[in-house]
Amino acid sequence: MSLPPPAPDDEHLARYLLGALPEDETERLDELSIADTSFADRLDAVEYDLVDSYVRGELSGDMLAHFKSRCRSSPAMRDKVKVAESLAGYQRRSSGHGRRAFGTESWSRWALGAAASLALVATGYLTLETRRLRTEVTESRAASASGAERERDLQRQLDERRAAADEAEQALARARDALAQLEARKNAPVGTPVVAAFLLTPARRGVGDVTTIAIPRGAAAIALRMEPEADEFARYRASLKELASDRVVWRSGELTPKPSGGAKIVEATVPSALLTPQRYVVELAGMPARGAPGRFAGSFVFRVVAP
Amino acid sequence: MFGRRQHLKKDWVETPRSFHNFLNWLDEGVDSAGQRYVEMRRRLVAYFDRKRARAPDELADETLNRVARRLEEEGAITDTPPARYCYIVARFVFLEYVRREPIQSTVADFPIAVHREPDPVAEQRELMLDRVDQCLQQLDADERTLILQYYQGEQRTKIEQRRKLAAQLGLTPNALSIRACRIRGRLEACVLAAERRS
Repeated sequence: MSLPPPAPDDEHLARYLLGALPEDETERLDELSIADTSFADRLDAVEYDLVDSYVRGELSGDMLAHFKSRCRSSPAMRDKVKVAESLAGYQRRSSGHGRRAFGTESWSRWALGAAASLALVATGYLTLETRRLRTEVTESRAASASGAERERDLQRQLDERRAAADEAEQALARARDALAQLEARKNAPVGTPVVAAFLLTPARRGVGDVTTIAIPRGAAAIALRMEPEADEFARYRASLKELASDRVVWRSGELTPKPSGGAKIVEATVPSALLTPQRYVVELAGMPARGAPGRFAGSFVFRVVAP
Repeated sequence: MFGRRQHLKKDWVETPRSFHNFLNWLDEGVDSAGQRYVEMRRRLVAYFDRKRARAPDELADETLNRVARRLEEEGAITDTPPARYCYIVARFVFLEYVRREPIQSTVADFPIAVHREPDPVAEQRELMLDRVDQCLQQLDADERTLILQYYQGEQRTKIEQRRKLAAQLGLTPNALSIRACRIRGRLEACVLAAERRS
C-alpha cells in the first residue's frame, strides 16, 4: 500500500496557481481544488499571499513571468491585483495618518473585549473617533489659514466616520436579522429547501413596475416566473445579471414553459444565496433547435431588498 | 459511471424539482441554504480560470447544469461524493471546450501591459482607496481589524506576525487563514462591485 503524497507547501501551490507544474501534478491538484474543501481553502489563502507578494515586488524570475502571464489571460486575476494594490495603499495611507486604532498593542485588549458584542464595539469606536475628529476640526479652525487644507481633510474624515457609525448600527440590526434567519433555518426540516415564487413583469413596462423581492427567511431558492414575450419556443434558457454591472451571476439549464391561464410561463429557480440587495435583470432566450443559438424572448428586471 | 453517458436524455429540461434535488444532493444532508452551490460554482469558476478558459463562469454553469441533469436522470448518485463528481464533469466540459476553442496562450502572445505600478492617475487611485475604506467600514469591527492585521507586513515578517495574531485570537493558524481569506473575499467583491457601479 502506498502512502498518500505529502501535503504540498505554499511555494508548490503558488506554482500550481500559476500553471507552472507538470501536467500530472496539475491534474491531481485540480481535483483537490474542487473536491477537497480544506485544500480549496488553503489554495485561496496562498493565492491572496501570492498576489500581495507581486504587489510588493517580492516576485522574481520565472514566478514573476508566470504571474504576469496569468494576469494577461485572466481578468479575475487582474481584479485581484487591483484590489490588493488598493488595500496595500490603504494600509500605507492609514499608517501615514497615524491612526492608532489598528495598532498591535491595542489589538490584544480590543480582541478580548470584542467577544461580548462586536457590532456595539464598532459603534462605540466610531463614536469616539467621530468625537476626536470633531475636536481636531475645532482646534484646526483656530489655527492659521495655512491649516485650511488639514481642516478639510479632517472634516472629510469626520463625515466618513459619521456615515460609518450609521452603518455600524445598521450592521447590528442586520446581525440580529441574520440570527433570526439562522433560527428559522434551524427549525426547517433537513433536505427540503424552502422556495419562494415571484412573478416578474417585462422590463419594457417601466421602472415603476419593477418587481421588488424580499427573500423570505429560510428560503434556499426563489422561483422566478416569467411570461416570455416570444412564446413560440418549446425551450428557454435564462441568464441572471446584475443590472448595474451587467455581470452574469447565474445561468439556467433548459427550461420548459408551462401553460397558465391561457399564457405560457417559464420558471427559473435561483439559489437565494446568489442574490444581494440590488437590481437584477433576467434575460430569457428561446432555443429554436438543439445546437442553434438562442433568440431573445424577454427581459425582466427586478429588485432585491433586505427582508 | 460515465460509461452510460450515451443514455443521457437528449430532451432533458431543468425543473424546479430537479434543481431542489440538486441542491439537496450538494448539501449531503446538511441544509446550507444554497451556500454549497455558491461555493461549488466559485471553485469551478476558479478552476476554469486557471485553465485559461475565456468564459470561466459559463463553463462553471454548464458543469452544474450537466450534473443536475445527470442527477435527475439517474435518480441518485451515490458512488461518488458530490464535489468529486462535479470535478469529473468539469473535466469533461473543459476537454470539450478545448476541442472547440484554443486555450489562451501564455507570455509572449499577450503584449498588454499589466499594471504593476499603481494607477498613474492620482484621482483614480484615491477613488479606489476610498472604496476600500468604505468596504472596510461595512465589515464588522473585528473582521476589519483582523484583515488589516493579517495582510500587513512583508513576506519575511508575515509568518511570525500571523502566528502571534492566531495566538491572540485563540485560533489555529489554519483557522485564522481561512477566516482572513473569507473576509478578504467579501472585501474584494465589495470593492469591485463599487467600481462597476461608478
